[in-house]
Amino acid sequence: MNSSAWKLSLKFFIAKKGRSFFSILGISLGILLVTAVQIVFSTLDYSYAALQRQQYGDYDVLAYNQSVGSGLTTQMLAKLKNVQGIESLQPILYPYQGQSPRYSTDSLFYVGLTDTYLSKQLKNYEIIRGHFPHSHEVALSPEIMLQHHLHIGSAIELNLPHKGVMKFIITGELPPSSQVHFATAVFDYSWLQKITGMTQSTGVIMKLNPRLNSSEKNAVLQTIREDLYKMVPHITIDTRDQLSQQINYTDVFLPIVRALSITSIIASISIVISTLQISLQERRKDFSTLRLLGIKGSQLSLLILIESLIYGLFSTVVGISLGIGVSFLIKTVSTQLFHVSMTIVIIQWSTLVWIALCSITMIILAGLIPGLWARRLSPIEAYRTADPSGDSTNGIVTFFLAPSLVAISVILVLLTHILKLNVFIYLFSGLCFVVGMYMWIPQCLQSSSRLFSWALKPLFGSNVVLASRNINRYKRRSTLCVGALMLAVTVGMAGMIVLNVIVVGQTRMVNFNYPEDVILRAVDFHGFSSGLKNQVRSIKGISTETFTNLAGAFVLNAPNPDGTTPMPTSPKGVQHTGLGSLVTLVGSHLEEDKRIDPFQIIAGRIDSRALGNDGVVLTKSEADALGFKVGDTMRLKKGFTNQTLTLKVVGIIKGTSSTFSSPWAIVNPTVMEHNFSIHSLSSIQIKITSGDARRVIQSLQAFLKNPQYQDVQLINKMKEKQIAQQPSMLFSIVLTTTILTIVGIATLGLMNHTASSIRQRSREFATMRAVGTTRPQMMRLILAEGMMTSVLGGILGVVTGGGFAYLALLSLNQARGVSFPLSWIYGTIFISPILGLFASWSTSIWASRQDILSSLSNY
Amino acid sequence: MNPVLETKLLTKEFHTGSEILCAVNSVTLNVKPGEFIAIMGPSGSGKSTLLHMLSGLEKATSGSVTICGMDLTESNDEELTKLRREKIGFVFQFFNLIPVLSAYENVTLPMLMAGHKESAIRERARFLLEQMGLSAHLHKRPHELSGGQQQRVAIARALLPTPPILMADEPTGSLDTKTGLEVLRLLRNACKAPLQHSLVLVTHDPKVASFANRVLFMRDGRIVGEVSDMDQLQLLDLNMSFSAAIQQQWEVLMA
Repeated sequence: MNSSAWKLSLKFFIAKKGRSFFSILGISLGILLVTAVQIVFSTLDYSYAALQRQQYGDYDVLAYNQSVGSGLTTQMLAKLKNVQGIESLQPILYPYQGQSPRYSTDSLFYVGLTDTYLSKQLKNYEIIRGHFPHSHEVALSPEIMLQHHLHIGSAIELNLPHKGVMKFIITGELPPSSQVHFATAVFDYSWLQKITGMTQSTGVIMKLNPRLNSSEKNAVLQTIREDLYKMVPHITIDTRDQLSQQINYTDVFLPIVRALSITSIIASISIVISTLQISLQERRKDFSTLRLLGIKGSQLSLLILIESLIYGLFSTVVGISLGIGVSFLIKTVSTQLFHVSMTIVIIQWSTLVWIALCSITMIILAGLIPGLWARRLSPIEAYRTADPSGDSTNGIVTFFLAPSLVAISVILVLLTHILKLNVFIYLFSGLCFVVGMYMWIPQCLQSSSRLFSWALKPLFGSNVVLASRNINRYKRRSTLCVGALMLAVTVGMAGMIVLNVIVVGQTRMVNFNYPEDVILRAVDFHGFSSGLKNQVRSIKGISTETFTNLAGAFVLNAPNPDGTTPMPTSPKGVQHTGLGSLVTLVGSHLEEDKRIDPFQIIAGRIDSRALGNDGVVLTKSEADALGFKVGDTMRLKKGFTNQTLTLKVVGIIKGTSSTFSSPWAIVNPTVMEHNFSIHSLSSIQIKITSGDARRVIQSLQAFLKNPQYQDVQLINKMKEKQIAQQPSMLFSIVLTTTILTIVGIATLGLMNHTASSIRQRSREFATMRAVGTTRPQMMRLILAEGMMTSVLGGILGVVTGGGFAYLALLSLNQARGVSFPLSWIYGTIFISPILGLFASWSTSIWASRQDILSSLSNY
Repeated sequence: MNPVLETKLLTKEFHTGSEILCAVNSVTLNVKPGEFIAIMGPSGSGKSTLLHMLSGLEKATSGSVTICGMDLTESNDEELTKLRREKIGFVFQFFNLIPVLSAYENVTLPMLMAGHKESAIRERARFLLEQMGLSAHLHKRPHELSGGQQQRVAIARALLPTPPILMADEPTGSLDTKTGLEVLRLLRNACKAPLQHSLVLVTHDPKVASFANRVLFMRDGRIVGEVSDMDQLQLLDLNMSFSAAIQQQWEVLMA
């Protein structure tokens, strides 16, 4: 039995090569998507982990002691090294940690490191030029080198507390320091230990075994924490939790893309079901004959299941192979066009085996539905010669269940909104809405096809009326056609809305962190000449904002004086002293700034005229901290002098970037000149609006070659910004690929359904031809059917997808400011009929060219 | 000799709205081994429904059908499937061959699906196809064969499991006269010794019916007449051939 069943199923499969090919293609697309998503995300995880390691250092623990007198002895380090799970560790020496007053005239931070791979992972102390220092050698931050006109090979005298001034040769350059006045000097660990007479190390860097899984890693980290606290009670331990969170950012996107790819698998499975159903329909007579000849119903089910297994095997091989190929393509496209960092494609074979097994199982399970129908097939069908008179759908589902579900969804949304119930009810209502809308397709089909026929009859004549009737006569089949496209549009619509929200959020975050592409920054307190500003502005395709050097002043009349009134927000940067609250004054042209660094005006007016010579604009954090409102007068004491200054608060702004979120008081640059004699600039922030970024950088570098600007540092933020933008960019690529694949699957499904529906009625069409219908009329009739079903699928998909996405976002508290992708909606409404025409085009040609006699005699 | 097939007051009613349509009304008949029975009647007379009930495809409203001692009205689907597989051979008007299989595969498939080994049935299948004049067409697919050849493949398929009874529904309905006659000869031969298959054939063609041993005439679900080739003496008295008697009955029935 088995071999003959296999043989028969294979023959059935081969007999319909065209349909088998398109079915396999459709199912493969689903598997392709799941495979590609899995590979792309594995690759991304790997690439970003590598990138993070490269950017922030490849280590797991950094521990250092901030107090004087206690450190880690050699024995302690040896004990730590024996902790299972630690791959390597290296000591660090901060010889003057916690010591006060300042240990060097240049405010240098001294660090002793070993010349090892692990120590080099401390990216702030990485030698970017030159070589690692040995005895009497040092590597320095570039700010110090710029400030003192030093270079590698120069000699420098440094003050070592308890040792006095010593002469060093500069052998290396460190990266620019993250803060302007926080420069570093790196020495050889052993030499520094020897010269300072310190026997203990004040810090340690560790790398864990990379093969540990997350729970093992956590266990090792816990052991390390316990051991370290026992050894040095007040030690600070950084286990890089924040970095781990950054690396796992894909966790945010993966579920969404995974949900979409699962939807695509469901769509693929619907193709399996419909293909097998079509095949069953076409072989209804063959199967009923077999039943009549004594074949059991279960054996027919087995035939269908074997056929689905054949589809499954072929589709899985094709899908996974194409998935691997597409992953490489995505990698190439992402790397070359979008500059997303993907080093190598990571293929986890075990995952692919799982995908293969799951796909085959799901496809076989999908075969169960037509298999059960085959089982129920009556042998008497073998005698039937009449054409099917049509099919119908379940009235209870269409007329009762579907509207009830939609109504329940609406009621739940209203109740949740009014009674402030758990937001997850929105998600539940969303699901009810989707299921209800799908169940409602037959009813919508009936109404819409009548509407179409009424509206289009004057234009297209009786073809449209007949098409409309056919749609209703074969309601189940038409429902499948509508459902196929509706699924794609629903997924696309929901995906685009979610994408919009995520991309907008990501863009906002990136813009907050990186309002500018390039910063020209002074390396010291003296700042640089404002002449540079004019030169920079001569470069085309950029916007700039300039900030004068900062000045400190004490507020004498703050409504929230030090300690008397609780502050609404953290007064970061506002220091309360006995002299009053210290504010940072900066001079800037806010109207210019707004172009590069948009901010929100919370209150008052923001322009040069309003600022004048006595106006001040406060950032919201500063206004909240000090308690000032627009119209208030600020009395300020200029630093430690006895001079005072009075400014009027003309506006309060809230920054959308990190710059204007800082606690600042912004005045006209002239105020800085007149009151603090500040003419110099602390920074120029540049945003490249158009044109070639490389050309802009080259121009800026050319300006900085002028000795006048030797104390100006160029900080290129574009690379960092690009990396920060990558997740949303990549998500867009993956989501777009997903949506396109699902649309592809839907189109194939639509073609499948249409072809089967037409083939099923080939005798009917032959009769129409026999009684005088012309070939073009036949084609128009079929095309009208295809178009009407696809238009409805598109419209219902937009409504369902939009509704579901909105409710899903409500459940995630992300619906505020959600924008519906109008271009996608218009595109869908425009493309849906075209898809319908495309899907029914070849079938309409086939039907119109059929031989009338052979079709009429085809039982 | 025990009858292969026996019915007692076999009735089939269909409910159409509030009306009850009696498609087959109290039909009692029996078919002996090797007997060839033709059932004739105009459209809607109930002959196809009767054939379906005789094959166990339609459940009777009342009465009974027994094939080889097995009461079909008391049997479940599994038993009926087994019965159709082992005891009944089917021949259809439109041949009902599986288009993707060759002539040989069409003949052997039901037996293979029933669990028989190909080696056990190969010789007989080839023999039957040879008997049907198809030895040169074993590996041709249905669309490569003429209508008559296709019907002969279907007959070979029906005969392969050596069923005691064959059910044929208008087996020559889609064949030309000459081919139809060839097919009828083959079917009649199957009823003769040594094969001794019984045959129930539904037709509305008196010429086709004349190949039978006995012709039953149906109208409105009832058997309203019968002509048997056993009534030779009576027919001689009437100076009428068997086929003429059938023709006469048929004309009366259609009047």
